[in-house]
Amino acid sequence: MREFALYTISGLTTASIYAITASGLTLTYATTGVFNFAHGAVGMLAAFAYWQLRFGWGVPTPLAFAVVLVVLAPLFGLGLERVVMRRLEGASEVAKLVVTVAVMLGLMSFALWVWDPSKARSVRPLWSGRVVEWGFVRVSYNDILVLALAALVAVGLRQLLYRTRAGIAMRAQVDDRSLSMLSGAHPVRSARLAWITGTMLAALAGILVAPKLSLSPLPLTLLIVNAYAAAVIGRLRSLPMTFVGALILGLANDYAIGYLPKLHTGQQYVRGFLGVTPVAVLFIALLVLNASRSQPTRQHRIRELTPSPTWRGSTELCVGVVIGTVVLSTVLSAGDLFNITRVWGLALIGLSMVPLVGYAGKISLCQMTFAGIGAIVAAHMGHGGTPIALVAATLTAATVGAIVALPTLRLSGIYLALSTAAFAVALDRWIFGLPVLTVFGHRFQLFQTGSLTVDRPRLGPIDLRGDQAFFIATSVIFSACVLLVVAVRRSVFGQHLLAMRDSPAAATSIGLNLRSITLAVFTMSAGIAGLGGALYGMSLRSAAAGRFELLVGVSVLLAMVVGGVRSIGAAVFAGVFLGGPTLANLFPHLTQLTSMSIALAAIAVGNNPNGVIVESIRPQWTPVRAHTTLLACGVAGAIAIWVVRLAGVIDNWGWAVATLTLLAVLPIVARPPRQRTAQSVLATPIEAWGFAAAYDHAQIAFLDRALSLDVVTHGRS
Amino acid sequence: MIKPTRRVTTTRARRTRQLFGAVVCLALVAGACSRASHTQAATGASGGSTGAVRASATTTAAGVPAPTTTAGPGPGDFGTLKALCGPGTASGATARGVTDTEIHLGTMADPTNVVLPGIGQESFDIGNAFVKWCNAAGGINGRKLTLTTRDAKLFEVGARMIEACQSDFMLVGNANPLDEAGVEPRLKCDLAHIPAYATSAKAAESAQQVVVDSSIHQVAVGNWRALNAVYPQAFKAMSLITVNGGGLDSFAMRQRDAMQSLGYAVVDFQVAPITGVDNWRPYSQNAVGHNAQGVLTLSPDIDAFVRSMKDVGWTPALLPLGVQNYNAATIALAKEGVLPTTYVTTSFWPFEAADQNATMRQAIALIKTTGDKAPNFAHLQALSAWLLWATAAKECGSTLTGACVIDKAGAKKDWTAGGLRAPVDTHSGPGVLSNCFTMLKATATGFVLDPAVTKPNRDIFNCDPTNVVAAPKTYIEG
Repeated sequence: MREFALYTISGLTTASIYAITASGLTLTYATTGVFNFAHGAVGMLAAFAYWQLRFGWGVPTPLAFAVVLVVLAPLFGLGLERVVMRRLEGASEVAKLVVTVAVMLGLMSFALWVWDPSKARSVRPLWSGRVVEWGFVRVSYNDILVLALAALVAVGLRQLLYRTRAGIAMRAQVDDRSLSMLSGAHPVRSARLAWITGTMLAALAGILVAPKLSLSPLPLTLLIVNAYAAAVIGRLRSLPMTFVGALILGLANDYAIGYLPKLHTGQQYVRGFLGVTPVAVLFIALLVLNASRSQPTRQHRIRELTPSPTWRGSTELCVGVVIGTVVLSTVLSAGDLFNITRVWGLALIGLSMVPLVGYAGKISLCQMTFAGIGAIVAAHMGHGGTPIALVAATLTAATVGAIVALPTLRLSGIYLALSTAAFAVALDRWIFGLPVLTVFGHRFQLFQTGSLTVDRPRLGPIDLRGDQAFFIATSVIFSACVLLVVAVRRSVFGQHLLAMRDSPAAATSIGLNLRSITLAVFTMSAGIAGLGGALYGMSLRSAAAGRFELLVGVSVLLAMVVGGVRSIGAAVFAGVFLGGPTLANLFPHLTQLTSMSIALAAIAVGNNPNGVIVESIRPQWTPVRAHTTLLACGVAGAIAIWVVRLAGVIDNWGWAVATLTLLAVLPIVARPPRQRTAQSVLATPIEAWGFAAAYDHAQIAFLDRALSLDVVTHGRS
Repeated sequence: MIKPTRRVTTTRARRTRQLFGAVVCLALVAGACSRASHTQAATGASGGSTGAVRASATTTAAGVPAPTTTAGPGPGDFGTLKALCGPGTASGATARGVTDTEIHLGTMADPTNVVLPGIGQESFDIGNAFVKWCNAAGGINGRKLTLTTRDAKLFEVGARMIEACQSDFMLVGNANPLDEAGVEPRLKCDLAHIPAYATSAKAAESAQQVVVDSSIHQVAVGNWRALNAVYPQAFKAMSLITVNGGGLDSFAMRQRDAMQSLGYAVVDFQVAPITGVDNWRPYSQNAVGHNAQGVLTLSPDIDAFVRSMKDVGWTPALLPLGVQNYNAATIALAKEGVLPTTYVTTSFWPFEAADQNATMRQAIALIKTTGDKAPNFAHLQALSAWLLWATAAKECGSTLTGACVIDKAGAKKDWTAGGLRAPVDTHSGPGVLSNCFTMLKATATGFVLDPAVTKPNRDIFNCDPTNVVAAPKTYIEG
């Protein structure tokens, strides 16, 4: 009993901090519909700012506290709302999620850049070492302050939401946005207030938790994962329930630490569970709480296109991928070649998101986890290079995908994203770290000692152990999967996926079984990810668990969304961007450049929800593709440059510059005719076409292109 | 005095190495991200003054005529390693990267990685500084050294290794926490190396290398014995708190087994998630619940843990720390008044005792030429690797091959890196631990040597074959 009381006391402090941060999260989500993954990162930044003021510059504690909390945090919240979040109005769930994730990564890079992580920093608790004692109970002054502040936040929020006009307007927003706007509420004003309050709460939690953690960006940011669970228990709407959720979480965490080590059997398997207690609470909350499915999706202005890929375009892409790979494999130095072999494995993992996230609109944050499972299977089955390993990796990952999909079938949007994230974290932190398991007499060691050796396949005379052969082979496998995804998109099943995304209700009403469709697409996508993971592991030869961690998966999703998650080309983009020669190679001293640039690009997704491929690259290349002579010249030019490189006349830099110049010049050369056509076609307003005169070829071609109809249909006019 | 037992000694180096690595990879990986405090060593008061004292060593190295007195060091001397670098007549293109006049070397670390930027910079700094110093003295047997620093950014060890295979004679002073990926490419192209440390079991056990003071088959227990003599109550009820993953848990289990084999009682064994603990209080609570009197923690981040002890009203009699905590952060805790009786153990010569050791002063002066970063443990590890390489390369003369260097470097009895560290036997392939240690007590004013506890029998070190025991079980699964 005494022990129980002690764990309860210590759990209450943790719960207070969770409650503060989770209430901020709930407030912003309920008011603005944006689930802010960067909430923890904001708190982290506040903790660093506090450290800088208090310990870096020696500002007195109360002043430092006040400056961060009352000046910096509200300003930051205001800026966040103004620069980033306001643009998300009408964006899809994926875009919203990716933007906040990008903000999170951006803030982390920023903190790493400003505060040299190799220097130790520590935030001292207030009144360090002083405690209050009642009998056997001891509570430090600092913890008493934390408890008091949590109570103050609860009272303050209650006052704000029930006693002030602005607060009542916010509640009206939560209850019925359209109605509140009809009665004259100002949604932007409410959103601004929500972001300011939310940021202040995040900052407060960040400062309070800093003495309990090491002052470094990652742990402080990831604290948010724990707060998600509390917010979900509050159904992302109810602040009192959020506080209850925080309480459950804080206590569960400390009871687990207190009582799990007392188990007598299976200790080595349970140990890692301590790190995932909050995630387990989150998962259970998502599954148990009925309300989690209740949020009806608000009707968005759809700003997004899902073009149907043509066979011709897809084939061209695949041929381009394979030829590009062959060319690269002949010119790169041994070290660069080894590095770049991972491109197509990563691209496959990106490709797995196209049907699931792009077509079906199901946000999964655990694709990288499926890839990890694929890599584990490939490592264990692939000794000596049997290609069966690839098949086994695909099938195992697909099976796990189906198992994950089953409990989450009824979830969508942010709830699905959170539960898949919970699954990913549980595997990262617990399952992948398990000691040796014996399953059916087969000894399995997942990742325990850090990394696994993954043999590359060998099939009779085809030996893929060399980097060049492997690189080319993976590009072929990737291309095959691209064609598979194209076939899916063009099939009836593909139309079902789109129907489900556009309107689940309408899809159900015409007799579609959404659950089986979801299950099927999840399974297929996990299978592709598993294959990608196996190839990725093989390209690295030795794969560490950290390669398949949640944040890595999130970066792939980020790159996919920047490229345009509904277009296949995005997978190529993601693979090349994440696996290829990164900016860091060009600018070795700007270490944060890669992460910063992808984060900034993703933040811009709010403006550009279809991705760079659909919005910039494809329009530029369409005229080139239509212009046979030009295309032939381009290919000839590329071959000529390659031959010159192979002959040793130019080096890799010369080759890269020449090839990139060629790629840049082709669309420019092709542009004039296209612009002329487009302008002359659009000289008549589009709605007037077909009235004064019959449709002409240019108009039909324009409409075909805009509607993404197959080029073959041209003949019919 | 020291038997060349196959399995010999020191905990420190190997512990650090493991911690260092494990922590980093976990950090990356699981997101635990300890702060990189282990890269920092305390700057003892001795640092500044000794730098000045030894400035002469570098000046001479830089080409100023050496003093002619017999007492003064020659330009190519490093501590007790006399004429390590100097003119000579070695010739022949005996191996890749070797010509009549030049030896091309590489060193690999991860300073520009995005996860923990700056980690391993010490290896690059020391590599460049040593090469400059050695060339100024005349090179190795007259051959000048050239060095390529290879930045593996944590995840590109395999690729950098393949690049090194094209041009480098050997790699020296590598500091890669994720070193496993480099093993196969390295062996495939016969690239021998002498790293600053090895992290993964695969790397630690691989061939064509000399890793000093490292083993997964041994546990250093000398410091425990010494502490047990003074704080016996701590070892009657020891709490061992580690973090899961990255090899740290298997390391902790070997420590636990070794403690039990010595008759100490481990009453509490807890594994915290590597991903960060936001409330250490229940861990302290558990330890108190078991009446633990001593606590051994492998958690890289001790600040919050130590404070939580105070919160639950627990003052353990003893907190023995590894060299990863031999830094200013530990002293800050002592100043804050929350640190129990705390010792760090090292088998390198402590910075605080540099005034008693000319080699150490020379090392500090060399480190100071690389920038204003406080001299730390990672500098010494890298420098020690370079000194071992140079010694062996010099002995090989005109028969300079990777195999020769590894043979010579792997057969040193009582190797002290010119006086930088306690004696240790070197072996090619898997290494052994040094059976010497010295302990420093953490006080509010800095670390102080504690001879009363260490009971030194060789300079400031306590050396004895029984300071190291074989681990009953490695907990590394093949």
